Amino acid sequence: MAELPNGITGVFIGRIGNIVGYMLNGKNIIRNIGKTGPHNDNQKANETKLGIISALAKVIDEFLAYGFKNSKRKPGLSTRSYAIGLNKKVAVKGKYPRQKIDFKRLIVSEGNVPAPKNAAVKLSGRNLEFSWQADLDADGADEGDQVMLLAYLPEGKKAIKVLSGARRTEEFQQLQLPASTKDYTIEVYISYISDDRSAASPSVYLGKHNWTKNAKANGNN
Amino acid sequence: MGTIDHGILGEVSGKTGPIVGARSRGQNTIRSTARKRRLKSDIPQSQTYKLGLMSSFLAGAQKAINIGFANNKKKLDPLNSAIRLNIPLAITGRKPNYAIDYSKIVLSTGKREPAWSEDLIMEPGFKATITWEVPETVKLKAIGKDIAHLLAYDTTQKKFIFYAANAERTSLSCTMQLLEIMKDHVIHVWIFFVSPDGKTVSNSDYVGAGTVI
Repeated sequence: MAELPNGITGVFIGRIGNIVGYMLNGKNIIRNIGKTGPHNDNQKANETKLGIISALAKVIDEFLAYGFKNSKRKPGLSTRSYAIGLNKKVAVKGKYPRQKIDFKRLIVSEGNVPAPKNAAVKLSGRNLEFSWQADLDADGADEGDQVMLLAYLPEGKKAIKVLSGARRTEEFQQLQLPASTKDYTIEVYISYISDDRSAASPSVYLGKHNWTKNAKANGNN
Repeated sequence: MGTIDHGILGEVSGKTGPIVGARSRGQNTIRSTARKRRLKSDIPQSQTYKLGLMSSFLAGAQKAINIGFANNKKKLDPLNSAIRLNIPLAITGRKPNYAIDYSKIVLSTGKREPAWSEDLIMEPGFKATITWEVPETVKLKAIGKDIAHLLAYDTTQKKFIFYAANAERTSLSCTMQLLEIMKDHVIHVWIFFVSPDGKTVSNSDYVGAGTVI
């Protein structure tokens, strides 16, 4: 049994047969519900894309919240959902069932701030050494812009994030990693965010790096 | 056709449409008619083997799983959620010789900061010390008081030991006192963190394996 609390022209809440109605983010949604048949390969491929991107988005959620804060999102759409929708289309490679994330094409921020110019990173021992050119003449650049840094570890499903890094004009930041007790690969990204957090830049992929076992920080091997 | 004894408010006996009335263990019950059951032959045997293997393995870790999977918003209970997640992740081999890949087992999922640089040191006196670090990028004020939760699985006794004493994240290590009976047994260890209020957890990490000395 469903209800029409505001009459026939109002909202539809409840279930009749296989139609269910409810409120979501202020909108009245109606859709089909109930058991469906087996999915075909295209549907499974789409579900897998969604699954692998969602799992990654969960780990770097905080970064995405700043990276997509000012993107043109539909009302009620979270930064995480927006990022998932965007990257599902561009950042998955391979054919079902062997789909993987294409880290080179992954987008972790976007916006009108000009992207870091000639950005690079070097893994030196336990340090990630980021460098870039200030490029203050670029349209939209501001000396108050700060870098955001992301090091994602696919095997560990973990990430190291800096959301409020060095100023654009400093052109360098060193990030010390905790000691690695296992061998990992790290996928590295850099973006800018404006001083007032009102705008971000497109993210730049800085490549895959191998992070191998090394001495611990406290000196015990 | 069902019959109603003792008037409209009395017991129903028999079948009327999809409803079946019966008396069971002294209780008047009504139920719907049985749906078509999936035949055992329709279920792949490999699936049955994997389910049995993972269920019996994780059952011993239920105390930890009830914490680690407590925030799962789906309708499955924590243990069922853990089994469902781990079957595709952590089973190796071919039917019928399936085995658990301990390094892939997940005992907790959540958004809290996970363990970093986790390491296992086996010490004389049947002790296992687990150490970890906190990255410089993390706000220690926010997570410093998180409690380390440790699990050790004894592959000889096929039992879990769950250790959730008061080792805070900032202490950077915790020692589990194991039992003498476990001498020379190989153990596998996992760690995850829980916020002081118990409401948020981190993903679990496999720390490693060692022999009890």
